[in-house]
Amino acid sequence: MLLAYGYRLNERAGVNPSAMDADTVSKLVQVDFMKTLSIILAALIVMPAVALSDEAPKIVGDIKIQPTTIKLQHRRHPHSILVTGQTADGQTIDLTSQASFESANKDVANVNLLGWVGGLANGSTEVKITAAGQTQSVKIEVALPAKAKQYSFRHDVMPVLSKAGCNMGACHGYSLGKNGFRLSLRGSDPEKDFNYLTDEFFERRVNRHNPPASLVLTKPLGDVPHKGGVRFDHGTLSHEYLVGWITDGAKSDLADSVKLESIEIFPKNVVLAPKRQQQMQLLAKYSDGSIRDVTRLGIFTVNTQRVAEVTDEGLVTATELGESAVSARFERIFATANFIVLQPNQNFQPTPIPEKKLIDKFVIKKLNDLNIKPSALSDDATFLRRVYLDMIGIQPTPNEVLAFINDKAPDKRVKTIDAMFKRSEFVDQWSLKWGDLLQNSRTHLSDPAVYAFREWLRASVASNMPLDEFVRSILLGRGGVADNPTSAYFAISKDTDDTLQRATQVFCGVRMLCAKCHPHPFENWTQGDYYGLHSFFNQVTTKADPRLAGVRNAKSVLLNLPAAHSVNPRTGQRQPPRYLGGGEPEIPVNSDRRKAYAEWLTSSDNPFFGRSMTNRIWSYFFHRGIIHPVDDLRTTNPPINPLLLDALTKDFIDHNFDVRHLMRTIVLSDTYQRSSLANETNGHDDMNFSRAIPRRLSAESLLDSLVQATAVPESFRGAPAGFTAKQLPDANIQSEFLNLFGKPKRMEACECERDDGSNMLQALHFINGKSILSRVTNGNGRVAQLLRTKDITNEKLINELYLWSLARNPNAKEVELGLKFFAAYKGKRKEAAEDLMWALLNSKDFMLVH
Amino acid sequence: MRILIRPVQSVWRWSFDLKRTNMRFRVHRLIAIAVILLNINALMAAEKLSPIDQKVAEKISFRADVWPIVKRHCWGCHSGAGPKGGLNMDTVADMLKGGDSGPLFAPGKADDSLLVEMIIGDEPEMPQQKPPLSAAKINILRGWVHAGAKDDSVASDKQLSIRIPEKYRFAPAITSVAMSADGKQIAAAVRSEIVLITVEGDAPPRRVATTSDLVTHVEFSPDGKTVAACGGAPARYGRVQFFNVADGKQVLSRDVGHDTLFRGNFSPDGKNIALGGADGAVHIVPFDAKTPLRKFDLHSDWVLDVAYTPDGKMLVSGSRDKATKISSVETGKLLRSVDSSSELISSVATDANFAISAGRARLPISFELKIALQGVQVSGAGNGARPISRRAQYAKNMEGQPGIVLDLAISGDRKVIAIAGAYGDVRTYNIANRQRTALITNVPAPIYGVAMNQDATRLVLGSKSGQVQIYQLPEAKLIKSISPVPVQAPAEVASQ
Repeated sequence: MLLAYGYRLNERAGVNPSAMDADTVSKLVQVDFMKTLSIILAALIVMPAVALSDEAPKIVGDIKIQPTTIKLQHRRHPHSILVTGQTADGQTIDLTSQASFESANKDVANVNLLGWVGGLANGSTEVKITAAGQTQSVKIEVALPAKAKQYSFRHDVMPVLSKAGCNMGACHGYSLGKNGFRLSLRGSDPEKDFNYLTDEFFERRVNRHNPPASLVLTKPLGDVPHKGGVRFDHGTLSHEYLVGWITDGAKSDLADSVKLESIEIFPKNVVLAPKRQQQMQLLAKYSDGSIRDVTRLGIFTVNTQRVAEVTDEGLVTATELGESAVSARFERIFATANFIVLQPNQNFQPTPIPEKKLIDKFVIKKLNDLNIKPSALSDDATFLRRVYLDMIGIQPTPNEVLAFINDKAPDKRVKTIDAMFKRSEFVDQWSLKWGDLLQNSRTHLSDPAVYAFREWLRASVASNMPLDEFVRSILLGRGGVADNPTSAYFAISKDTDDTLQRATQVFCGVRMLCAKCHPHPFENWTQGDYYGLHSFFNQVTTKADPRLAGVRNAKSVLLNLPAAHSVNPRTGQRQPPRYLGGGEPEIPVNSDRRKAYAEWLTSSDNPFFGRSMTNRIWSYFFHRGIIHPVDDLRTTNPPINPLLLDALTKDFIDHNFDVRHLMRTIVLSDTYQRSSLANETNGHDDMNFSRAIPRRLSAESLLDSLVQATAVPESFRGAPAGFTAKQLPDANIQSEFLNLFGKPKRMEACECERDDGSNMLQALHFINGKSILSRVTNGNGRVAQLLRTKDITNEKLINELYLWSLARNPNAKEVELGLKFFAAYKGKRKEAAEDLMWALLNSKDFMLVH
Repeated sequence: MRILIRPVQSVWRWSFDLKRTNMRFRVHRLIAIAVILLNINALMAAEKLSPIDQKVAEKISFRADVWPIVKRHCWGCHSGAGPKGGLNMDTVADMLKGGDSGPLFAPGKADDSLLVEMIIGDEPEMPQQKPPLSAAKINILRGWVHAGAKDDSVASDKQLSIRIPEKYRFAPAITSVAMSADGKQIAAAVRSEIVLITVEGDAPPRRVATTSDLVTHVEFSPDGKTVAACGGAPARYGRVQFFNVADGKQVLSRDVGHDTLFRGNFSPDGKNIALGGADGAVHIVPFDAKTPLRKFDLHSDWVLDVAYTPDGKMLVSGSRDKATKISSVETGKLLRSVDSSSELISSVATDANFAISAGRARLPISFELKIALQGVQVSGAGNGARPISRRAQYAKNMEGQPGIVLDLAISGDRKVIAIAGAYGDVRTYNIANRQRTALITNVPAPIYGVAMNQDATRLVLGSKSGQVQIYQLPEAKLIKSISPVPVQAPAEVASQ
């Protein structure tokens, strides 16, 4: 039957559309509504959501119907019904295509084979759904307006321009348009788009008196040559909406007060076996309370394309094992659904959930969903080295390793962590991180300012200043370095744009740069949002600090309190300060607007600050954040484990932004302490923290650990004598080693500026460069010192070299191998010891946090 | 199974044609020669194509099966004026004719064809920078060529049906207006038709249907006996139709190019009309069937308006490329690019001494021709000499307008210019001293077209709202306001 409809569609509208007159079109789309509805659906949903796998999985429990009630308020807006079931092992099965639907009152509402319901007359009825041997029903309420609504520019045409891709950045959405026709990027400015379409060049693009002749139809249909190709076919919903709108007179309804408020995607969490499919449903909620099914108008994308594919109509097909968000956009709003693709495994024994352990509870829950068992806990030496490198950026010394291994106290891991906070290297490690993020550098600042700011950061870390207070102090700095070291934060910025982008990226984890010139492509940030933030910071000016005359980059931060709000270039209007995500505060004139921002940012209910900071700090202890990248929070980049992030964020805020508390929670979790060795279930997992994923040591940790292992210090020209790599004031100190291993230049507020990748040059440097070779052969170095120890045996020597180099004892096999190695050198003991240490320092065991 | 060996064919085909300079083929040829010399045929990229099923092939229809593929994947570039590679794929005949690289195929020889060669392989050359065609689509094209490349297309498929309602459902925009020298006769362009209006008396407007989807320019010939309706169909054709004013009969219709024409101007002798084109050229369309069309390639984007100087020797053109240019009618060559605006130029006008252009930048500028063209040879070799004046010496700003300027009109005696656009008034100025002479307020904006009579005592404007208004100047007194075509009342529309 559907095929027959499809055929009729072709017959009627497909072959010779340009000859079709307006009356035929209006008949096609209006008079014959329900019939055409089925036709259009048949054409649109080319592939119904059937599983490609052979055997029918067994459904346990009740089938799920989405939604349970439907209110139809528009003749042309049908609503879909999704039917899903679950298998015993938690897989989601899309039953929509096998379900049968029946309307109890066919005069009130009609339902087609695919579960789309259309309202015909006012009243109530229900649709009975039968699937997997069960029957359920959906309440249908039909309340149609007395007079058929005209096609809407705002709600029908604008979505089509997005759906068909007309307003993409590569097409007419480009800032100069394409081939003389311009649209606002991704439909950000409907008013302009209306004029471009209906007014430019003597109404060249729409012909209200002969709609099929309109260029805005003939181009995307491919009836006249179109560089952008065929964007939609005859008889599709896009075609119907555009023809309908032109036939109705191509009118504007921009003044209409009904606005899109939110969109929601269903189902939100899906677990699929490879090759299985799931149809999505996208619902839009409007300010008048109406809900419209916009599945056919949404734009769907899969974040991780390896894992699944999605069609234009929102049908997702799982391809490979893994996880991905499926994002949908309608107008300027985004929604995401989480997909997990895994092999069915009826025999999986879930790990018991440690309900009392904040982190482990949520990690294990997720792993159970994924049929993954976590790796075992790491051994003492591995744990100690990991926690030292992560917390204080240096390997433990042999004495520390041995003391820890030999300690029999059950709480020794807790004690060790508490001791870490008291180490001076703890201050080095975390003030370095903040120095990077806040871009403390002589490229932007004077020498005294860099050191003063550095000292301030060190003092805050040492005193464990709560993070909210820390950030408020930074955001309110003014004057010169002598007045207030944190004034450096503003002195670093080139201009207000720089300040707002840095502040948003570091403290909120949100990248706003895109929204400076056009609406953000992956989030609903507009230029209004951008310039709203701009207005918080535009009172700040800098001038040369008169007290440091002649000192390079010496700046004083001043506030021009009467400064007017910033101008949004799109509207030409001044944009009052607006918090990220909405809310325009009343700020008294001639007062420091930064204060309102700082207070909003660090309040306990701020949706960005605590969350992004928790996520960022988490990422310093693992190979990735719970949201990754850590400074790109947006709807379309959802957290890998939302419950975990929520719980941890709440805990962080409840403990008054105490960073040490957060670190302790993380480090003491089983999740942090897991081995990097995979078991048979978690080898493929690199996102859900089921095992430790080795990371390369940072440039500074690598160098400091190398210095400690070899007892040969590194001298940095331009830094006070005795400074370790982590203590350096900025990256303006020449160090080939640190450059090579990716120390950031502090030119960007992005975590990505630190390059933690590996490359051939690094390997060559380690193999041939003097960093290692000259250190192991140094006459006062570790090898020489050990050899001077009285009566040291080869076995003891090997043991010491392992301890210094890799912070662990060698195992029996390694000792045996070492002894053979020494024997092979036939008495050249010094050379053998040097070569062994060289080899150990060149091993992955040294290069990686594992 | 057939095995198609591309490079060998290439060398066979191209080694005999030394004129070819296309890089692509040079590279092909080099590879082919290298392959033959080294005799490693077995190693080179060969396309394995499945055999063509004769029965299936014969059922393939150009109209139903082939054309949808062509229009989706090829036609965007291989069409219209200046198609890529010189190849136009509008019709089967065009494909047989081929482009710079020869015919696309010979009927019956699918796998020896350039068409198939271009679309097969791991990284086919076509469609350029787009995903390759699916195997199914390739096989449709192959099968169709194999079975003889029969053309079952129907002419009406691609033809546009021009539809002129008896009674319009919505008031149609007036896209252009013209006024006879005596100010008694008015022509208004209304989408696909023109309407002739007599100012005095009660004679009903005469509706004259055109075969253009959109008439962009209407103008009386200098003798007032003929009216030209210029336009065409967007992305299809440009068309000029000449009608007898007396009886509304078409005298001549001439087609130009692949898109609508824009605005222009009758030559002072009435022998032709110059019009701007979407191909960046100025087109001279003679008012007789035999004289060939002329085309001056002057701009890099749509030419939106052209005007003759009163002596008929020069043309002033304004374009979406933002430039205002002066060219020689005799040679068709550029004399001088007198200005580059920050926005597009929508209209130009001239008198004996000045050229004036205006557009989206809202600021009409007057260019003094004598100074602008100092050092430029106007006749003979054209732009052989270099202009010696600087812009500041010849360009004078006129009064800035409150909105985008859409049309300029000049009185028959070339003394007064009227300026109108997307704002609520129309202003007239003395051309010589750029002083305002009249201000008509509260017009139904936006105004798409404006025109005046011989001595600037009467002005007509055409509005997007569908109204034509006639004013007396310089008093700015409204003489008449009419809707030239019948329009349904809103109630009638609503009841449908």
